Amino acid sequence: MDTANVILEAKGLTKRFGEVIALNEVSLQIRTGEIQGLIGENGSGKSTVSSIIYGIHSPSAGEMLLKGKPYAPKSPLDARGHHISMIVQEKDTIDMLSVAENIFLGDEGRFRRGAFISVKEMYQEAEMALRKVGLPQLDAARPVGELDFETRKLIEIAKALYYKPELMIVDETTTALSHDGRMKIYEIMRQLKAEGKAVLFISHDLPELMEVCDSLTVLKDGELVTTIPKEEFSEGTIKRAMVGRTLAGNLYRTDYGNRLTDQVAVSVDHVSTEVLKNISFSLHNGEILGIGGLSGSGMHEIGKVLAGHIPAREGTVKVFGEKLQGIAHALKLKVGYISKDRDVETLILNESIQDNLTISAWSMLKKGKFFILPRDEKKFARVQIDHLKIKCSSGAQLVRELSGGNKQKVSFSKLIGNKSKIMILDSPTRGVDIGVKTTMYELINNLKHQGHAILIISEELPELIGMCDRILVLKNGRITGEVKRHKNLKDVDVIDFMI
Amino acid sequence: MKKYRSVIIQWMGLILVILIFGIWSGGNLFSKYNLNSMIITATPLLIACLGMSFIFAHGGMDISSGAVVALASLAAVVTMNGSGSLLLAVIVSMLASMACYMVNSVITNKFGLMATITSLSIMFAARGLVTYICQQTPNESISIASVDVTLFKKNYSFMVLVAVIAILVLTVVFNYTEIGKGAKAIGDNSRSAGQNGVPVDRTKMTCYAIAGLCVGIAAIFKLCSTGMVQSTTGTGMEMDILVVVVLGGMSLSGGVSTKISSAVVGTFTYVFLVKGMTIIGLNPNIVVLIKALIFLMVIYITAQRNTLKTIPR
Amino acid sequence: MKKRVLAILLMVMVVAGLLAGCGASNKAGNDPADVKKVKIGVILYNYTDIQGKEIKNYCDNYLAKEFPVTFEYQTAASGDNEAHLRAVDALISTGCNAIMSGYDTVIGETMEKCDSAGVYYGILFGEAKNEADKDGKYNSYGNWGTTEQSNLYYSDYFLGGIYQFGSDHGYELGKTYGQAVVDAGVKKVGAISFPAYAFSDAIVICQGFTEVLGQAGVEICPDEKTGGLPAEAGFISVGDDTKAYIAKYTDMDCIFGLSSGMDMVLPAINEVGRLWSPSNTGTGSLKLASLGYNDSSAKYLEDGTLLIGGTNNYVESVAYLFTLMFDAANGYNMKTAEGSGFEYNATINYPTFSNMEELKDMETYMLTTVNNDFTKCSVSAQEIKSVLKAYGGSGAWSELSGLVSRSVAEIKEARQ
Repeated sequence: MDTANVILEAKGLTKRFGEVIALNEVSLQIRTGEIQGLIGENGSGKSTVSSIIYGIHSPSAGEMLLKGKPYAPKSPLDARGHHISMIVQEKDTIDMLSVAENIFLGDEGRFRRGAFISVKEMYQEAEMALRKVGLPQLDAARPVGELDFETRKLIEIAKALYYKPELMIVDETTTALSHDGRMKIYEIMRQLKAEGKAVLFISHDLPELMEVCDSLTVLKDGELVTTIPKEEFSEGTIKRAMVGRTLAGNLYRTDYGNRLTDQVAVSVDHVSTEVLKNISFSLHNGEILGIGGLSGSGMHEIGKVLAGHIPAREGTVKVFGEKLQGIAHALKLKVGYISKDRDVETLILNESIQDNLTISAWSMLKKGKFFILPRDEKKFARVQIDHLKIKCSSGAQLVRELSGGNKQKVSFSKLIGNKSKIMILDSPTRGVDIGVKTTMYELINNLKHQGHAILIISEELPELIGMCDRILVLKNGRITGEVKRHKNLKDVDVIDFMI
Repeated sequence: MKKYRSVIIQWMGLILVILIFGIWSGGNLFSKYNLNSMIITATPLLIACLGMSFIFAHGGMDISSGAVVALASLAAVVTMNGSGSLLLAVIVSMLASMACYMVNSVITNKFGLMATITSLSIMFAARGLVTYICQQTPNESISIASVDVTLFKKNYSFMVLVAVIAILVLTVVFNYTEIGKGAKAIGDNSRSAGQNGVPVDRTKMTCYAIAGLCVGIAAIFKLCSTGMVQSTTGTGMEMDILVVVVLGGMSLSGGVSTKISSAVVGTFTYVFLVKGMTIIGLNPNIVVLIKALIFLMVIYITAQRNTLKTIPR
Repeated sequence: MKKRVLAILLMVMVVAGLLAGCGASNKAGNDPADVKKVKIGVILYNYTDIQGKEIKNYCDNYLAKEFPVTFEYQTAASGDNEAHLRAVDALISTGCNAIMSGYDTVIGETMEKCDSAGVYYGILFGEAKNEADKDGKYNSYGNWGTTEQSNLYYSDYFLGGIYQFGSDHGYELGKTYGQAVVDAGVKKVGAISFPAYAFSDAIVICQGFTEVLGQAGVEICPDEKTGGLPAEAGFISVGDDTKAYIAKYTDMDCIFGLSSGMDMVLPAINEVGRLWSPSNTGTGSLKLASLGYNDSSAKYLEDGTLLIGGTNNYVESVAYLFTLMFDAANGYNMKTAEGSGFEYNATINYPTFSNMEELKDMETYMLTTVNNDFTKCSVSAQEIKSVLKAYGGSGAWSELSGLVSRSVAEIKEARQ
């Protein structure tokens, strides 16, 4: 490979956050006069790469070379000193400060004259920087808080350009911008390219990347899949690279007969909330319904609405024909819910397995009108622990001490224990190892056959495709598509509705 | 075994206190007068602490009990003198105290204020009201007139009986009903408890009501032993309650580790400790100082232990 | 589970222990002279003012050395009945045989405790009156509470109290003060005191006081509520209340301070610059008649600010109750003894001074913290022993009463 014009080379970058491997042995090269794209699903490691280059995180292993010399930035300021700039996804300006102060934040020293900062000089410099991003009319003394989002983004870009970057990282900046704003950024990137600088452009908007980039690096689950040159760009190739995985064995259910009962367990009728917009669907007994989407699509909110945690602002949710009113009512109607934030919302980590199992079954355990006897609780817990083979010393063991898989088993047991008819499972296999996963899927399948109505909300497409009778795809709070269970159903078919 | 370790430590502590001061005082600690005197001190304190355990269990905090005792006593003594009925006075005392605690609970839960702050304002309001009313009387105090209150004042068997009943009933409610179990779940993780169907607001309210009821009963005992209400009635009770529960090993952060037995063992330890220190002739100011030190020490230890609790994120 | 059973067992044990309520009684060893060692508890507002210092000094540095007695002290803030009862409880717990208290409130509840514990109780500065009255409520004198409690007036353990302003409740004393004020030639006179329920004698003192003023035609500054003297001040707000009172009468040129004239009233007047005094920077014209004494009395008396002052004879008060209590603890209770002539209240002397010589004598023969010579103190151990049955004394109340009601002049004569 031609290494002459490589500005930054990463070799075997690895980043661990505790047990989680965010980035595994990723090597890539960024060249001058090139706009390189970086794409991947949520959590594929895109942002980790950029934050390592920009000095926000340091890699757990691997090294980087900048123009052939070892490069290990200690902080963003350090990175900036090496002429590397970044524009981030989130708002990165401080509302209270003026435009100029934001541009030179952390670097006010350059205007120091004796003990004072020369404000006049600072404003002059700022106005010059602003002109470069097409904002010559902007008053550098205005507080940033008064400006709209797009202008603030442009100020960040002005700030990035001011330091004459050799490499500029643009991290999912465009998603929130209008067409004009995007065009401005593309223009700036192209200009940098023309000047012989390098750009690393992170986005998950495929058409955008295909239009702007010269090459595209695909990450998946923290690993580098491939780098595709411009000549080979096609939506199909890129998508395949993003999600393409081969699945081992039959982790999921294998039947494909869509045997739905006619009994509607839950019907959602034109429901809107803060996030959701006009959602309608129904869930039948004996059905596994999947909800898919990207994070921020509102998929998790659906679960909370069905469990009575969030009231519908408009529309109604009916459970077995009854209008749902709040958590207590949902529980009474036998709606069980496992939250995505299991450790905070479903389990009580500091309490024992027994206490966790019984809490949602008190009404069943009560003797007379008031009393819940330890003997009954113990028996109840024992049955559930044995049923799902929860690995623990006894029911008295604290849930906090259990592994992720066993914690999730406890969550499931709660629903089984209190005889939930409708089970809303948000990210049911999150943080669970493959062994427990298999058990879960088996269990979900059994519950389906017992006639339970099951709703799986998941960010993992294979899981949805493998388990669900139907998949509803959400985007921006709306249902954008519905996919029926089919032997030949592919991730791509679902992804189409998400992006 | 491990689970009960802390409980055993608390009881051993009590026995140790009894032994040390029993011997140090040359057996004087067990004189009839001193035992009776300790029953008089312990009964209202124990009942109040049992009730307050429900507040501590759900992670609440209350420092208004002393002032509420004063207000409830005032309501009771006025009722007593007006109607001549002791029973009516007991009921009024309980209702007055419960009312205070319900207001406290409603303000805390509906307006999302810190429990300590709310109870502080209840404390000032109640104390202020009692002081104002007492100042209107010629003696700056209101005394029990013609009602015979021997039962609550000198009948030691009755006191022990009431205390035992309170222990039994409240232990059952605390450990074997939705109220106590719910409170503990809320104390550990109110979000999760709510999502598991525990009616969070209602449970908290019930806990406050129970605490109010108990403080109301305590107020009657206190009123009868002093025979009057004045602006200083009940002062320091809130601190005594905190010292008692921390002595009993209660974690003030709430949750399933809250044991109602802490109130029982704490009260006994506290009463024996204070009486013991008095008997051996410690300067009363030193006794107060030691109380403060114990409080600080136990809070420190509790805080240390609580940092070990990983807070889920 | 086992542990829980154990815990419950322990709990039952403790409760049972409490129920049993039986234990050793406290018997102290005998003195070589066959006199029982006695422990007496004292309750006062504080031990830092002249009263507290005097009492503690006489007890610890004199009585405790001359007799087999030890003293225990407890403090209770003024007006806090609950605190007083806690103090009583604490003293009984420490094994006191008798308690003398500066409080004359909550006698009923206090006696219930003392009677049940077999501890003698007496009031240091206040009168014992059996007035559990008509409607059973506390009245402003007896403070006995219920009828049942007032029966404890006749308990062997209640040793009575003291008329600290004479048996006429200070009427004559008031006249003495009135005369001194009239003699000084002032024109307009006010008076301020504690709330009536706490210091009921103040009303009578002021009656004597105003009578003399009236006869001499001196104008008074009446209280708005009562239309007469004194004006009332709260326990902790004496200073502010004094300021408010004198502000209403800008031409007041003399004030009778009953609510601790020297400690509370004088500083308040001085703060607002109304105090008459060549040694003060203020340009005021207000002179003082003071119920009370402190170490600045001499200075103000000398420069003419203080017209008349006076104070309880603390030693007489303590000596009286000590004698009753010591003998009672040793088996001779004057109250129940045949022919002892016991009365519920003794009258102690309230010496006043309006010139330096009188002040000097008072300090010498009455104030042990000033003079520090117990051979000249108001009541000597020898005199006490002459009454104490335990030392072969007479055991006669009239003799004791005589000993503790001597004026400074009489004491001076006895010490020559």
